[in-house]
Amino acid sequence: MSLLQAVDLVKHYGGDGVFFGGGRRKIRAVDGVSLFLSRGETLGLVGESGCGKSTLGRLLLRLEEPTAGKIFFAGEDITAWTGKRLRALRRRIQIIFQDSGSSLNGRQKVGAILEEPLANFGMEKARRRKRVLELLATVGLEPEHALRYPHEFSGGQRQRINIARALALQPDLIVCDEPVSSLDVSIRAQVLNLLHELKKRFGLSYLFISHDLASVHYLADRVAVMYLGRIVEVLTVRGLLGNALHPYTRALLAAVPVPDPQRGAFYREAIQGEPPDPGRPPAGCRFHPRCPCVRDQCRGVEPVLRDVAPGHKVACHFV
Amino acid sequence: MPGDTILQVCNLTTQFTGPGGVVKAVDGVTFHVKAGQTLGVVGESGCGKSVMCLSLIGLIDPPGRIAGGEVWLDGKELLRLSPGELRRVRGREIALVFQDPMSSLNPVLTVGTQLTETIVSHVRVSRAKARRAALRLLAGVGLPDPERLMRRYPFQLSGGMRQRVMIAMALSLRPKVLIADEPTTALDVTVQAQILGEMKRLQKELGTALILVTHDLGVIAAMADTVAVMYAGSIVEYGPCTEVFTHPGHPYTKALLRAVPRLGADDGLVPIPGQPPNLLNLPDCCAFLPRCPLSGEECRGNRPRLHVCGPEHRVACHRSIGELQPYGEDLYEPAAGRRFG
Repeated sequence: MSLLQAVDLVKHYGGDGVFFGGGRRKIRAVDGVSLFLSRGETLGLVGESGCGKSTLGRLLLRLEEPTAGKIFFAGEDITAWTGKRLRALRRRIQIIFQDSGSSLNGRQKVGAILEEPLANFGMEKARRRKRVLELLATVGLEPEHALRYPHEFSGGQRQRINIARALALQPDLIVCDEPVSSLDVSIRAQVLNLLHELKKRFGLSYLFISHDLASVHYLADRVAVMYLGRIVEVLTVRGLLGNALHPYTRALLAAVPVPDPQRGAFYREAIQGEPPDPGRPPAGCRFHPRCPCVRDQCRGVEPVLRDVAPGHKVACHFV
Repeated sequence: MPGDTILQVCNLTTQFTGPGGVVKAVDGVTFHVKAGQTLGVVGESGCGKSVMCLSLIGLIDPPGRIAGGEVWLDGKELLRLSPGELRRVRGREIALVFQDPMSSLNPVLTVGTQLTETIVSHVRVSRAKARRAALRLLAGVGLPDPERLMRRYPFQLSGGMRQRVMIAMALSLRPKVLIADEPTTALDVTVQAQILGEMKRLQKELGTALILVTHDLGVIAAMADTVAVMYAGSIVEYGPCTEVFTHPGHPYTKALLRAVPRLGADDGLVPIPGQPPNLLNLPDCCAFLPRCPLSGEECRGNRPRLHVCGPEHRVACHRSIGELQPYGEDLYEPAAGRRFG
């Protein structure tokens, strides 16, 4: 059974107001997304900026209200949960953000930051202290770090604090929204490896949101590729390099710079154009203006995400 | 002429003095760039690569100062020029593109005004002629509908378009050397690929030498002819791109290559332990020492200089040096640079 499932999830912004916002165009950030995540699995969600991947992550966490669609967590429909039930859900789904600095309160010591979720869910003081030390050790920090402020840490260490906070309540699922994008190359591997270890150790599931295909390839079991509010392809990581079928997935793969001078110049195969405005998605297949294999049908009819092989879905007319 | 050394940097040192002491952001950097070729400078944040770029064209403000070294561009020593002379060299002979195009463009002027302005302020041409040149430039960097674009303001453009405008502006006066500091870091991968392709094409067309600064080893691998790996303000390895990637000499380069996730490789990542060092009052031993798996007694001595470990390949590591010949001792003599003039 899947741990998390989204069915036809939609999130539109703007376009509905009568007054000041009334003239705005409707932004279709997430426009009919269905996906699932099994227990113990890491699902990578990749796409370029503005494709709606972060919005989708926030929807699944119930940090945003969906315009339409349903979200199921552990078999229960959580789409409309409020109050106590939603609060209880929070301890089971956590999030790690990209910017490790701004997601920590600069005026709180690390110990207090880590204690807060524990206190929120009623753990008494003595046990909280013990748990904080445990958490610090889990993410590779020292006990004395509890007495320091976030600004005294480097970016990589701050991301460790974020991870510790996310782990505090022993969640089932962590949404990692670009967790290593702002980190230096040498530190990135430390954090990726830590995430991998923690997953094995605590049986976690991750939704790993990233624009970096190489990191996703390293950490995820399956990959969902998003373009302009829609999932265009879902497949296993093992199949990503050889079996990716959607022209957009292939374009993304081709555009990843590989640190090997003998691989030839990746920029020669670059697709043209930039991601279009999500307020005005193109008719038909949303990728058609940039697609190297575009045909007439693509301009009029939007392809649906369909199974092409077990565990492999593609939304393209011609695969 | 392609293949001739166009830019020679000798022992460049830039320091920032603060209440806590001296930060040697650039600490004795020596390299050269040949006409029409690309030097890739790779390093992590804080390794001094951006400060090095700014130092090359004398854009260091107090409390920073260029404490020593020489920058020879086509027979001129840039660091000894008067502010007026330097102004004429900047843009015209050596130009710079930054990571964030929004903060380098003027938000209240149209793209057209800014481009035309750049040309008119350096070359004696009429505005009409400069305008025509600007239109050609915009088309040259792959921007559609240049006429319309000229009337637009920076905020109306996407990040990729802004960076294309910056590149058009930087190349408007056909500089001999273009310095690009993380030009595509803020962009999506597909747009990054387009822009790097454009840069490569323009470079070929104009014969510009390119100094490409980035933290992305993949970008370096595809773009650079020569690579300089920077760590804590110094170049620790320098050599032909293929050579550095296939036979890295410095433990830092080796570790860096194993720490990047790459598509198609299933072997695990080996992180580099520890943190990049604080450049404040850095001790005079090898800066990589605390993180180095190979460190030994000799590493606690003086900081290693670049040594020759292959044709054109240099490495600064006590453990790899052995019997290697020191590199570039002659370049440290002030008079030596003149032979590039």
